[in-house]
Amino acid sequence: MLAFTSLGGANPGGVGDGDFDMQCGGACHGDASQNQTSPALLELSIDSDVYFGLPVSITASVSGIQFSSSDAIGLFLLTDVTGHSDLPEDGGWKVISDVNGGDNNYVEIGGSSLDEAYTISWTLKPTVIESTTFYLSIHHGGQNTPYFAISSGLNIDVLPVPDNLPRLSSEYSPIISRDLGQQTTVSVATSDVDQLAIEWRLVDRPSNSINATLVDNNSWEFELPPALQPSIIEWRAVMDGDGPTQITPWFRIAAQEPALEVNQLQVYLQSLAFCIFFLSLILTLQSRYLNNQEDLPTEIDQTNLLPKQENSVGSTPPLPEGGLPNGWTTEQWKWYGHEYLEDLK
Amino acid sequence: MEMVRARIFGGLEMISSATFHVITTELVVGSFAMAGICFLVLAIQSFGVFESEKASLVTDYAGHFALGFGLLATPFAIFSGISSSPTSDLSSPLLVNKMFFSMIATGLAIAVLFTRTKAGNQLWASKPSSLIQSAAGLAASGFMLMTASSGGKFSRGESVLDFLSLPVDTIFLMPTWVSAIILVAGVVSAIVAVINLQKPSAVEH
Repeated sequence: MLAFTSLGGANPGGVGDGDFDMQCGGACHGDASQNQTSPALLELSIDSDVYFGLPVSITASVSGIQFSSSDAIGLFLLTDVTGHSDLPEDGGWKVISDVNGGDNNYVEIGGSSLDEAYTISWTLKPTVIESTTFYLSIHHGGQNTPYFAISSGLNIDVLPVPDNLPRLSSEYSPIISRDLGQQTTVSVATSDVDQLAIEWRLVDRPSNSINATLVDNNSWEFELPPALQPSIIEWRAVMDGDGPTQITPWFRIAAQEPALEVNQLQVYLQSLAFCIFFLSLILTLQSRYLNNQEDLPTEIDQTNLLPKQENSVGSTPPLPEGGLPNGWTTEQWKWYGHEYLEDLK
Repeated sequence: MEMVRARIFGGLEMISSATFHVITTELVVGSFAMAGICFLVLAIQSFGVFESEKASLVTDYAGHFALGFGLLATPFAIFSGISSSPTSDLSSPLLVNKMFFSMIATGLAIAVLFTRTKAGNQLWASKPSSLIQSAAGLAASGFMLMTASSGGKFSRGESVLDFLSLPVDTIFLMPTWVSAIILVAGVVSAIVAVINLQKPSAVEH
Protein backbone atom coordinates (compact mmCIF):
# COMPACT_ATOMS: atom_id res chain seq x y z
CA MET A 1 0.00 0.00 0.00
CA LEU A 2 2.94 2.32 0.59
CA ALA A 3 3.65 2.05 -3.12
CA PHE A 4 0.39 3.84 -3.85
CA THR A 5 1.25 6.88 -1.74
CA SER A 6 3.49 9.78 -2.53
CA LEU A 7 6.31 10.57 -0.17
CA GLY A 8 5.45 14.24 0.11
CA GLY A 9 4.14 15.92 3.22
CA ALA A 10 1.35 17.59 1.26
CA ASN A 11 -2.02 16.03 0.61
CA PRO A 12 -2.10 15.89 -3.20
CA GLY A 13 -5.80 15.10 -3.32
CA GLY A 14 -6.73 18.11 -1.25
CA VAL A 15 -9.27 18.00 1.53
CA GLY A 16 -12.18 19.71 -0.17
CA ASP A 17 -13.55 23.18 0.42
CA GLY A 18 -14.47 24.05 3.95
CA ASP A 19 -14.10 26.43 6.86
CA PHE A 20 -10.48 25.97 7.88
CA ASP A 21 -7.93 27.89 9.88
CA MET A 22 -4.54 28.88 8.51
CA GLN A 23 -3.04 25.40 8.90
CA CYS A 24 -6.18 23.65 7.74
CA GLY A 25 -6.51 21.96 11.12
CA GLY A 26 -3.46 19.91 10.14
CA ALA A 27 -5.52 18.21 7.45
CA CYS A 28 -3.93 19.72 4.33
CA HIS A 29 -0.27 19.35 5.22
CA GLY A 30 0.54 16.75 7.78
CA ASP A 31 3.15 18.77 9.63
CA ALA A 32 3.24 22.55 9.34
CA SER A 33 6.89 22.56 10.33
CA GLN A 34 7.73 20.83 7.04
CA ASN A 35 6.23 23.64 4.97
CA GLN A 36 8.50 25.45 2.57
CA THR A 37 7.84 29.07 1.68
CA SER A 38 5.78 29.28 -1.46
CA PRO A 39 7.04 31.55 -4.25
CA ALA A 40 3.44 32.62 -4.93
CA LEU A 41 2.64 36.30 -5.12
CA LEU A 42 -0.55 36.90 -3.17
CA GLU A 43 -2.65 40.03 -3.08
CA LEU A 44 -6.05 40.98 -1.74
CA SER A 45 -8.07 43.93 -2.98
CA ILE A 46 -11.47 45.51 -2.65
CA ASP A 47 -12.99 48.01 -5.05
CA SER A 48 -15.77 49.70 -3.13
CA ASP A 49 -16.70 51.11 0.22
CA VAL A 50 -17.92 48.62 2.77
CA TYR A 51 -21.13 49.25 4.64
CA PHE A 52 -22.45 47.44 7.65
CA GLY A 53 -24.66 44.50 6.66
CA LEU A 54 -24.14 44.90 2.91
CA PRO A 55 -22.32 42.35 0.76
CA VAL A 56 -18.96 43.17 -0.66
CA SER A 57 -16.54 41.31 -2.88
CA ILE A 58 -12.93 40.70 -1.84
CA THR A 59 -10.69 39.76 -4.73
CA ALA A 60 -7.62 37.58 -4.42
CA SER A 61 -4.82 37.49 -7.00
CA VAL A 62 -2.36 34.61 -7.17
CA SER A 63 0.63 34.31 -9.47
CA GLY A 64 4.15 33.04 -9.68
CA ILE A 65 3.66 29.32 -8.99
CA GLN A 66 4.83 26.47 -11.15
CA PHE A 67 2.65 23.38 -10.99
CA SER A 68 2.41 20.02 -12.48
CA SER A 69 -0.98 19.52 -14.07
CA SER A 70 -2.18 17.23 -11.29
CA ASP A 71 -1.55 19.64 -8.46
CA ALA A 72 -4.19 21.67 -6.69
CA ILE A 73 -3.87 24.68 -4.45
CA GLY A 74 -5.81 25.67 -1.39
CA LEU A 75 -6.58 29.32 -0.75
CA PHE A 76 -7.66 30.69 2.59
CA LEU A 77 -9.32 33.99 3.39
CA LEU A 78 -8.33 34.77 6.98
CA THR A 79 -8.67 37.54 9.51
CA ASP A 80 -5.68 36.62 11.66
CA VAL A 81 -2.27 34.97 11.31
CA THR A 82 -2.00 33.31 14.69
CA GLY A 83 -3.42 30.04 13.38
CA HIS A 84 -6.58 30.01 15.47
CA SER A 85 -9.79 32.05 15.58
CA ASP A 86 -8.81 33.33 12.18
CA LEU A 87 -11.92 32.67 10.11
CA PRO A 88 -13.91 35.59 8.69
CA GLU A 89 -16.67 34.66 11.12
CA ASP A 90 -14.25 35.23 13.97
CA GLY A 91 -13.67 38.76 12.68
CA GLY A 92 -17.38 39.55 12.41
CA TRP A 93 -17.84 38.71 8.73
CA LYS A 94 -20.11 36.20 7.05
CA VAL A 95 -18.99 34.44 3.86
CA ILE A 96 -21.91 34.53 1.42
CA SER A 97 -20.32 32.80 -1.54
CA ASP A 98 -16.96 31.64 -2.80
CA VAL A 99 -15.49 30.91 -6.20
CA ASN A 100 -16.59 27.28 -6.19
CA GLY A 101 -20.21 28.03 -5.43
CA GLY A 102 -19.99 27.33 -1.71
CA ASP A 103 -19.75 29.61 1.31
CA ASN A 104 -16.36 28.62 2.69
CA ASN A 105 -13.22 30.57 3.58
CA TYR A 106 -11.06 27.76 2.14
CA VAL A 107 -11.35 26.81 -1.52
CA GLU A 108 -9.37 24.46 -3.71
CA ILE A 109 -8.50 25.23 -7.30
CA GLY A 110 -6.93 23.10 -9.97
CA GLY A 111 -3.27 24.03 -10.37
CA SER A 112 -3.12 23.56 -14.11
CA SER A 113 -4.82 26.90 -14.66
CA LEU A 114 -2.30 28.76 -12.55
CA ASP A 115 0.43 29.24 -15.07
CA GLU A 116 -0.37 32.90 -15.11
CA ALA A 117 -1.99 35.33 -12.72
CA TYR A 118 -5.28 34.01 -11.48
CA THR A 119 -8.06 35.88 -9.75
CA ILE A 120 -10.81 34.63 -7.50
CA SER A 121 -13.20 36.38 -5.16
CA TRP A 122 -15.25 35.88 -2.05
CA THR A 123 -18.48 37.70 -1.33
CA LEU A 124 -18.82 38.58 2.32
CA LYS A 125 -21.00 40.65 4.58
CA PRO A 126 -19.78 42.51 7.70
CA THR A 127 -21.87 41.91 10.79
CA VAL A 128 -20.10 44.41 13.05
CA ILE A 129 -18.94 47.99 12.53
CA GLU A 130 -15.21 47.78 13.05
CA SER A 131 -11.97 47.51 11.13
CA THR A 132 -10.80 44.09 10.04
CA THR A 133 -7.54 43.01 8.44
CA PHE A 134 -7.83 40.24 5.89
CA TYR A 135 -5.08 37.90 4.74
CA LEU A 136 -4.82 35.50 1.83
CA SER A 137 -2.99 32.25 2.57
CA ILE A 138 -2.02 29.50 0.20
CA HIS A 139 -1.22 25.79 0.60
CA HIS A 140 0.10 23.79 -2.28
CA GLY A 141 2.58 21.08 -3.14
CA GLY A 142 5.33 20.65 -5.64
CA GLN A 143 8.14 18.12 -6.04
CA ASN A 144 6.82 16.22 -3.02
CA THR A 145 7.20 19.27 -0.81
CA PRO A 146 4.39 21.16 0.96
CA TYR A 147 4.42 24.92 0.40
CA PHE A 148 2.79 27.68 2.38
CA ALA A 149 2.57 31.45 2.07
CA ILE A 150 0.48 34.29 3.42
CA SER A 151 -0.16 37.73 1.98
CA SER A 152 0.23 41.10 3.62
CA GLY A 153 -2.89 42.37 5.33
CA LEU A 154 -5.73 44.25 3.69
CA ASN A 155 -7.39 46.55 6.20
CA ILE A 156 -11.09 47.14 5.67
CA ASP A 157 -13.11 49.73 7.55
CA VAL A 158 -16.80 49.01 7.89
CA LEU A 159 -18.95 52.13 7.62
CA PRO A 160 -22.48 52.73 8.81
CA VAL A 161 -25.07 52.67 6.05
CA PRO A 162 -25.88 56.18 4.75
CA ASP A 163 -29.49 57.32 4.74
CA ASN A 164 -31.55 56.44 1.67
CA LEU A 165 -28.78 54.29 0.20
CA PRO A 166 -30.39 51.76 -2.16
CA ARG A 167 -29.24 48.45 -0.77
CA LEU A 168 -29.99 44.86 -0.06
CA SER A 169 -31.68 44.14 3.23
CA SER A 170 -29.12 43.43 5.96
CA GLU A 171 -30.90 40.14 6.70
CA TYR A 172 -30.84 39.01 3.08
CA SER A 173 -28.82 35.91 2.20
CA PRO A 174 -28.89 34.82 -1.44
CA ILE A 175 -29.20 31.18 -2.41
CA ILE A 176 -25.88 29.61 -3.42
CA SER A 177 -26.93 26.28 -4.89
CA ARG A 178 -29.69 24.65 -6.89
CA ASP A 179 -30.42 21.31 -8.51
CA LEU A 180 -29.81 20.54 -12.14
CA GLY A 181 -32.74 21.21 -14.44
CA GLN A 182 -34.45 23.39 -11.88
CA GLN A 183 -36.03 26.67 -12.98
CA THR A 184 -34.89 28.98 -10.21
CA THR A 185 -36.84 31.87 -8.81
CA VAL A 186 -34.55 34.12 -6.81
CA SER A 187 -35.99 36.39 -4.16
CA VAL A 188 -34.28 39.65 -3.30
CA ALA A 189 -35.02 41.73 -0.20
CA THR A 190 -34.03 45.40 -0.43
CA SER A 191 -34.27 48.72 1.36
CA ASP A 192 -34.79 52.14 -0.22
CA VAL A 193 -34.91 50.66 -3.72
CA ASP A 194 -37.35 51.91 -6.35
CA GLN A 195 -36.16 49.86 -9.29
CA LEU A 196 -34.17 46.67 -9.43
CA ALA A 197 -32.36 45.37 -12.49
CA ILE A 198 -30.55 42.05 -12.56
CA GLU A 199 -27.47 41.07 -14.54
CA TRP A 200 -26.66 37.37 -14.77
CA ARG A 201 -24.03 35.40 -16.64
CA LEU A 202 -22.22 32.12 -16.79
CA VAL A 203 -18.70 32.42 -15.41
CA ASP A 204 -16.48 34.40 -17.80
CA ARG A 205 -19.33 34.81 -20.30
CA PRO A 206 -21.21 37.96 -21.41
CA SER A 207 -23.94 39.06 -19.04
CA ASN A 208 -27.69 39.34 -19.66
CA SER A 209 -29.99 41.93 -18.09
CA ILE A 210 -33.50 41.43 -16.82
CA ASN A 211 -35.80 43.44 -14.60
CA ALA A 212 -36.83 42.00 -11.27
CA THR A 213 -40.52 41.94 -10.41
CA LEU A 214 -41.70 43.72 -7.30
CA VAL A 215 -43.58 41.13 -5.28
CA ASP A 216 -44.21 43.02 -2.09
CA ASN A 217 -42.87 46.01 -0.30
CA ASN A 218 -39.06 45.81 -0.68
CA SER A 219 -39.34 42.24 -1.95
CA TRP A 220 -38.40 41.35 -5.52
CA GLU A 221 -38.14 38.23 -7.62
CA PHE A 222 -36.47 37.19 -10.84
CA GLU A 223 -35.97 33.91 -12.64
CA LEU A 224 -32.82 32.15 -13.78
CA PRO A 225 -32.86 29.52 -16.54
CA PRO A 226 -32.32 25.88 -15.53
CA ALA A 227 -28.83 24.40 -15.79
CA LEU A 228 -28.45 21.20 -17.76
CA GLN A 229 -25.04 20.28 -16.34
CA PRO A 230 -23.06 21.19 -13.22
CA SER A 231 -22.12 24.83 -13.61
CA ILE A 232 -22.01 28.14 -11.81
CA ILE A 233 -24.15 31.11 -12.69
CA GLU A 234 -23.44 34.61 -11.40
CA TRP A 235 -25.86 37.45 -10.82
CA ARG A 236 -25.81 40.93 -9.37
CA ALA A 237 -28.40 43.59 -8.69
CA VAL A 238 -28.40 47.18 -9.92
CA MET A 239 -30.43 49.19 -7.43
CA ASP A 240 -31.94 52.59 -8.11
CA GLY A 241 -33.54 54.80 -5.49
CA ASP A 242 -33.33 58.23 -3.93
CA GLY A 243 -29.66 57.72 -3.15
CA PRO A 244 -26.87 56.97 -5.62
CA THR A 245 -27.26 53.86 -7.78
CA GLN A 246 -25.67 50.83 -6.18
CA ILE A 247 -24.40 47.61 -7.72
CA THR A 248 -23.99 44.51 -5.61
CA PRO A 249 -21.06 42.10 -5.94
CA TRP A 250 -21.52 39.07 -8.16
CA PHE A 251 -23.33 36.32 -6.31
CA ARG A 252 -22.75 32.75 -7.38
CA ILE A 253 -25.25 29.92 -7.64
CA ALA A 254 -23.87 26.45 -8.24
CA ALA A 255 -26.01 23.95 -10.13
CA GLN A 256 -25.29 20.43 -8.99
CA GLU A 257 -26.69 16.94 -9.01
CA PRO A 258 -29.60 16.62 -6.61
CA ALA A 259 -28.59 15.19 -3.27
CA LEU A 260 -29.34 11.54 -2.74
CA GLU A 261 -32.81 11.05 -1.33
CA VAL A 262 -33.36 7.75 0.40
CA ASN A 263 -35.70 6.57 3.06
CA GLN A 264 -33.41 6.59 6.07
CA LEU A 265 -35.54 4.06 7.92
CA GLN A 266 -35.12 1.73 4.96
CA VAL A 267 -31.34 2.13 5.06
CA TYR A 268 -31.11 1.62 8.81
CA LEU A 269 -33.39 -1.42 8.66
CA GLN A 270 -31.33 -2.98 5.89
CA SER A 271 -28.12 -2.25 7.81
CA LEU A 272 -29.53 -3.99 10.85
CA ALA A 273 -30.74 -6.88 8.66
CA PHE A 274 -27.23 -7.28 7.24
CA CYS A 275 -25.76 -7.22 10.73
CA ILE A 276 -28.14 -9.87 12.07
CA PHE A 277 -27.88 -11.98 8.91
CA PHE A 278 -24.11 -12.30 9.06
CA LEU A 279 -24.19 -12.75 12.82
CA SER A 280 -26.70 -15.60 12.57
CA LEU A 281 -24.83 -17.11 9.62
CA ILE A 282 -21.61 -17.46 11.58
CA LEU A 283 -23.35 -18.63 14.74
CA THR A 284 -25.34 -21.23 12.82
CA LEU A 285 -22.29 -22.59 11.04
CA GLN A 286 -20.28 -22.71 14.23
CA SER A 287 -23.04 -24.34 16.25
CA ARG A 288 -23.40 -26.98 13.55
CA TYR A 289 -19.73 -27.83 13.32
CA LEU A 290 -19.15 -27.65 17.05
CA ASN A 291 -22.11 -29.98 17.63
CA ASN A 292 -20.92 -32.34 14.92
CA GLN A 293 -17.54 -32.32 16.54
CA GLU A 294 -19.20 -33.56 19.72
CA ASP A 295 -21.47 -36.00 17.92
CA LEU A 296 -18.66 -37.67 16.03
CA PRO A 297 -17.05 -39.46 18.99
CA THR A 298 -20.51 -40.43 20.21
CA GLU A 299 -21.31 -42.14 16.95
CA ILE A 300 -18.12 -44.15 16.81
CA ASP A 301 -17.86 -44.82 20.53
CA GLN A 302 -19.40 -48.32 20.87
CA THR A 303 -17.72 -49.22 24.08
CA ASN A 304 -21.11 -49.52 25.77
CA LEU A 305 -21.80 -52.49 23.49
CA LEU A 306 -18.77 -54.35 24.75
CA PRO A 307 -19.16 -56.82 27.63
CA LYS A 308 -18.36 -55.19 30.87
CA GLN A 309 -15.12 -56.99 31.31
CA GLU A 310 -13.95 -54.60 33.92
CA ASN A 311 -16.64 -55.75 36.30
CA SER A 312 -16.01 -59.41 35.58
CA VAL A 313 -12.28 -59.00 35.68
CA GLY A 314 -11.97 -56.36 38.27
CA SER A 315 -13.98 -58.18 40.93
CA THR A 316 -12.27 -61.22 42.40
CA PRO A 317 -14.38 -64.40 42.00
CA PRO A 318 -15.31 -66.21 45.19
CA LEU A 319 -12.89 -68.95 46.25
CA PRO A 320 -14.12 -72.56 45.97
CA GLU A 321 -14.47 -74.82 49.00
CA GLY A 322 -11.05 -75.79 50.16
CA GLY A 323 -9.55 -72.52 49.24
CA LEU A 324 -7.29 -71.60 46.40
CA PRO A 325 -6.76 -74.51 43.99
CA ASN A 326 -3.36 -76.05 43.95
CA GLY A 327 -0.85 -74.27 41.77
CA TRP A 328 -2.91 -71.03 41.63
CA THR A 329 -1.68 -67.77 42.91
CA THR A 330 -3.99 -65.06 44.22
CA GLU A 331 -3.26 -62.88 41.23
CA GLN A 332 -4.07 -65.67 38.79
CA TRP A 333 -7.33 -66.34 40.67
CA LYS A 334 -8.26 -62.71 40.48
CA TRP A 335 -8.03 -62.64 36.68
CA TYR A 336 -8.86 -66.25 35.66
CA GLY A 337 -10.76 -67.61 38.62
CA HIS A 338 -14.13 -67.11 36.95
CA GLU A 339 -13.03 -69.42 34.11
CA TYR A 340 -12.13 -72.10 36.66
CA LEU A 341 -15.55 -71.77 38.24
CA GLU A 342 -17.20 -72.01 34.82
CA ASP A 343 -15.33 -75.25 34.12
CA LEU A 344 -16.50 -76.72 37.41
CA LYS A 345 -20.07 -76.03 36.39
CA MET B 1 -16.85 30.40 14.05
CA GLU B 2 -20.07 28.54 13.95
CA MET B 3 -19.64 24.84 14.35
CA VAL B 4 -21.65 22.00 15.61
CA ARG B 5 -20.59 21.09 19.09
CA ALA B 6 -21.24 17.79 20.69
CA ARG B 7 -22.67 18.20 24.15
CA ILE B 8 -22.05 15.31 26.40
CA PHE B 9 -22.80 14.78 30.04
CA GLY B 10 -25.18 17.58 30.89
CA GLY B 11 -24.00 20.51 28.90
CA LEU B 12 -20.26 20.07 29.23
CA GLU B 13 -18.95 21.42 25.97
CA MET B 14 -16.68 18.93 24.28
CA ILE B 15 -14.93 18.58 20.96
CA SER B 16 -16.76 18.81 17.65
CA SER B 17 -18.44 15.68 16.36
CA ALA B 18 -16.09 15.68 13.35
CA THR B 19 -13.02 15.50 15.61
CA PHE B 20 -14.69 12.89 17.78
CA HIS B 21 -15.40 10.89 14.63
CA VAL B 22 -11.71 11.01 13.67
CA ILE B 23 -10.71 9.74 17.13
CA THR B 24 -13.20 6.89 17.16
CA THR B 25 -12.53 5.82 13.58
CA GLU B 26 -8.82 5.66 14.26
CA LEU B 27 -9.51 3.44 17.25
CA VAL B 28 -11.84 1.23 15.25
CA VAL B 29 -9.66 0.91 12.18
CA GLY B 30 -6.51 0.33 14.21
CA SER B 31 -8.14 -2.36 16.31
CA PHE B 32 -9.76 -4.11 13.38
CA ALA B 33 -6.55 -3.98 11.37
CA MET B 34 -4.66 -5.66 14.19
CA ALA B 35 -7.44 -8.21 14.57
CA GLY B 36 -7.28 -8.85 10.84
CA ILE B 37 -3.58 -9.66 10.99
CA CYS B 38 -4.15 -12.04 13.90
CA PHE B 39 -7.02 -13.82 12.16
CA LEU B 40 -4.93 -14.09 9.01
CA VAL B 41 -2.25 -15.92 10.99
CA LEU B 42 -4.91 -18.15 12.56
CA ALA B 43 -6.37 -18.90 9.14
CA ILE B 44 -2.96 -19.85 7.80
CA GLN B 45 -2.47 -22.16 10.76
CA SER B 46 -5.92 -23.64 10.22
CA PHE B 47 -4.83 -24.67 6.74
CA GLY B 48 -1.80 -26.28 8.27
CA VAL B 49 0.72 -24.18 6.38
CA PHE B 50 2.68 -23.82 9.59
CA GLU B 51 2.03 -24.68 13.18
CA SER B 52 3.19 -22.79 16.22
CA GLU B 53 1.50 -23.21 19.55
CA LYS B 54 2.87 -19.89 20.77
CA ALA B 55 1.77 -17.98 17.67
CA SER B 56 -1.63 -19.61 17.86
CA LEU B 57 -2.04 -18.63 21.48
CA VAL B 58 -0.92 -15.03 20.98
CA THR B 59 -2.94 -14.38 17.84
CA ASP B 60 -6.01 -16.01 19.37
CA TYR B 61 -6.03 -13.74 22.41
CA ALA B 62 -4.75 -10.61 20.65
CA GLY B 63 -7.10 -10.97 17.70
CA HIS B 64 -10.21 -11.42 19.77
CA PHE B 65 -9.24 -8.66 22.19
CA ALA B 66 -8.56 -6.22 19.35
CA LEU B 67 -11.82 -7.20 17.70
CA GLY B 68 -13.72 -6.62 20.93
CA PHE B 69 -12.10 -3.25 21.51
CA GLY B 70 -12.85 -2.15 17.97
CA LEU B 71 -16.39 -3.36 18.35
CA LEU B 72 -16.85 -1.21 21.45
CA ALA B 73 -15.70 1.88 19.58
CA THR B 74 -17.78 1.16 16.46
CA PRO B 75 -21.13 2.63 17.64
CA PHE B 76 -19.39 5.86 18.59
CA ALA B 77 -17.78 6.02 15.16
CA ILE B 78 -21.06 5.35 13.36
CA PHE B 79 -23.14 7.94 15.19
CA SER B 80 -20.44 10.62 15.31
CA GLY B 81 -19.98 10.04 11.59
CA ILE B 82 -23.63 10.64 10.90
CA SER B 83 -23.72 13.80 13.00
CA SER B 84 -20.53 15.17 11.46
CA SER B 85 -21.84 14.77 7.92
CA PRO B 86 -22.48 18.22 6.39
CA THR B 87 -26.18 17.52 6.14
CA SER B 88 -26.34 15.15 9.11
CA ASP B 89 -28.08 12.53 7.02
CA LEU B 90 -27.38 9.95 4.37
CA SER B 91 -26.91 12.35 1.48
CA SER B 92 -24.40 10.30 -0.49
CA PRO B 93 -24.21 6.69 -1.71
CA LEU B 94 -20.82 6.50 0.00
CA LEU B 95 -22.41 7.20 3.37
CA VAL B 96 -25.10 4.59 2.79
CA ASN B 97 -22.51 1.98 1.84
CA LYS B 98 -20.43 2.97 4.86
CA MET B 99 -23.41 2.19 7.03
CA PHE B 100 -23.86 -1.21 5.37
CA PHE B 101 -20.19 -2.14 5.60
CA SER B 102 -19.86 -1.13 9.23
CA MET B 103 -22.99 -3.02 10.28
CA ILE B 104 -21.89 -6.16 8.44
CA ALA B 105 -18.52 -5.91 10.18
CA THR B 106 -20.30 -5.42 13.48
CA GLY B 107 -22.45 -8.51 12.99
CA LEU B 108 -19.47 -10.64 12.04
CA ALA B 109 -17.41 -9.38 14.96
CA ILE B 110 -20.19 -10.05 17.47
CA ALA B 111 -20.58 -13.59 16.13
CA VAL B 112 -16.84 -14.22 16.30
CA LEU B 113 -16.56 -12.97 19.85
CA PHE B 114 -19.65 -14.81 21.02
CA THR B 115 -18.50 -18.09 19.52
CA ARG B 116 -15.04 -17.70 21.02
CA THR B 117 -16.53 -16.99 24.44
CA LYS B 118 -18.91 -19.94 24.36
CA ALA B 119 -16.71 -22.53 22.69
CA GLY B 120 -13.42 -21.59 24.27
CA ASN B 121 -10.28 -23.32 23.07
CA GLN B 122 -12.37 -26.18 21.72
CA LEU B 123 -13.05 -23.86 18.79
CA TRP B 124 -9.61 -24.58 17.40
CA ALA B 125 -9.89 -28.35 17.85
CA SER B 126 -11.56 -28.90 14.49
CA LYS B 127 -10.58 -27.56 11.12
CA PRO B 128 -14.06 -26.41 9.96
CA SER B 129 -14.82 -24.39 13.07
CA SER B 130 -11.37 -22.82 13.19
CA LEU B 131 -11.60 -21.93 9.51
CA ILE B 132 -15.03 -20.36 9.97
CA GLN B 133 -13.79 -18.40 12.97
CA SER B 134 -10.71 -17.15 11.15
CA ALA B 135 -12.61 -16.31 7.98
CA ALA B 136 -15.32 -14.45 9.89
CA GLY B 137 -12.72 -12.46 11.82
CA LEU B 138 -10.91 -11.62 8.60
CA ALA B 139 -14.16 -10.63 6.91
CA ALA B 140 -15.08 -8.37 9.83
CA SER B 141 -11.72 -6.64 9.53
CA GLY B 142 -12.06 -6.38 5.76
CA PHE B 143 -15.51 -4.83 5.90
CA MET B 144 -14.35 -2.35 8.52
CA LEU B 145 -11.40 -1.35 6.37
CA MET B 146 -13.79 -0.90 3.44
CA THR B 147 -15.85 1.34 5.70
CA ALA B 148 -12.82 3.46 6.44
CA SER B 149 -11.93 3.51 2.76
CA SER B 150 -15.39 4.80 1.87
CA GLY B 151 -14.97 7.51 4.50
CA GLY B 152 -11.70 8.60 2.96
CA LYS B 153 -13.31 8.60 -0.47
CA PHE B 154 -16.14 10.77 0.84
CA SER B 155 -14.00 13.32 2.65
CA ARG B 156 -10.90 13.48 0.47
CA GLY B 157 -12.06 12.05 -2.83
CA GLU B 158 -9.47 9.31 -2.84
CA SER B 159 -8.72 6.07 -1.07
CA VAL B 160 -5.95 3.50 -1.08
CA LEU B 161 -8.54 0.92 -2.13
CA ASP B 162 -9.39 2.86 -5.30
CA PHE B 163 -7.41 0.35 -7.34
CA LEU B 164 -10.06 -2.25 -6.49
CA SER B 165 -12.73 -0.13 -8.21
CA LEU B 166 -15.31 -1.02 -5.61
CA PRO B 167 -18.81 0.10 -6.61
CA VAL B 168 -19.21 2.35 -3.58
CA ASP B 169 -21.08 4.95 -5.63
CA THR B 170 -23.91 2.49 -6.18
CA ILE B 171 -26.43 1.51 -3.55
CA PHE B 172 -27.91 -1.94 -3.19
CA LEU B 173 -31.13 -1.03 -1.43
CA MET B 174 -33.73 -3.70 -0.76
CA PRO B 175 -37.43 -3.09 -0.20
CA THR B 176 -38.30 -2.61 3.43
CA TRP B 177 -40.30 -5.83 3.61
CA VAL B 178 -37.34 -7.86 2.36
CA SER B 179 -35.12 -6.31 5.03
CA ALA B 180 -37.76 -7.06 7.62
CA ILE B 181 -37.97 -10.73 6.56
CA ILE B 182 -34.19 -11.09 6.64
CA LEU B 183 -34.10 -9.41 10.00
CA VAL B 184 -36.73 -11.68 11.53
CA ALA B 185 -35.23 -14.81 9.98
CA GLY B 186 -31.80 -13.77 11.15
CA VAL B 187 -32.99 -13.18 14.69
CA VAL B 188 -34.68 -16.58 14.82
CA SER B 189 -31.64 -18.32 13.37
CA ALA B 190 -29.36 -16.52 15.78
CA ILE B 191 -31.49 -17.55 18.77
CA VAL B 192 -31.52 -21.19 17.64
CA ALA B 193 -27.77 -21.12 17.08
CA VAL B 194 -27.15 -19.53 20.46
CA ILE B 195 -29.28 -22.21 22.15
CA ASN B 196 -27.30 -24.89 20.36
CA LEU B 197 -24.03 -23.30 21.31
CA GLN B 198 -25.11 -23.07 24.91
CA LYS B 199 -25.73 -26.80 25.14
CA PRO B 200 -23.03 -28.11 27.44
CA SER B 201 -22.39 -31.06 25.18
CA ALA B 202 -21.55 -28.79 22.33
CA VAL B 203 -18.87 -26.73 23.89
CA GLU B 204 -17.70 -28.27 27.10
CA HIS B 205 -15.38 -31.17 27.02
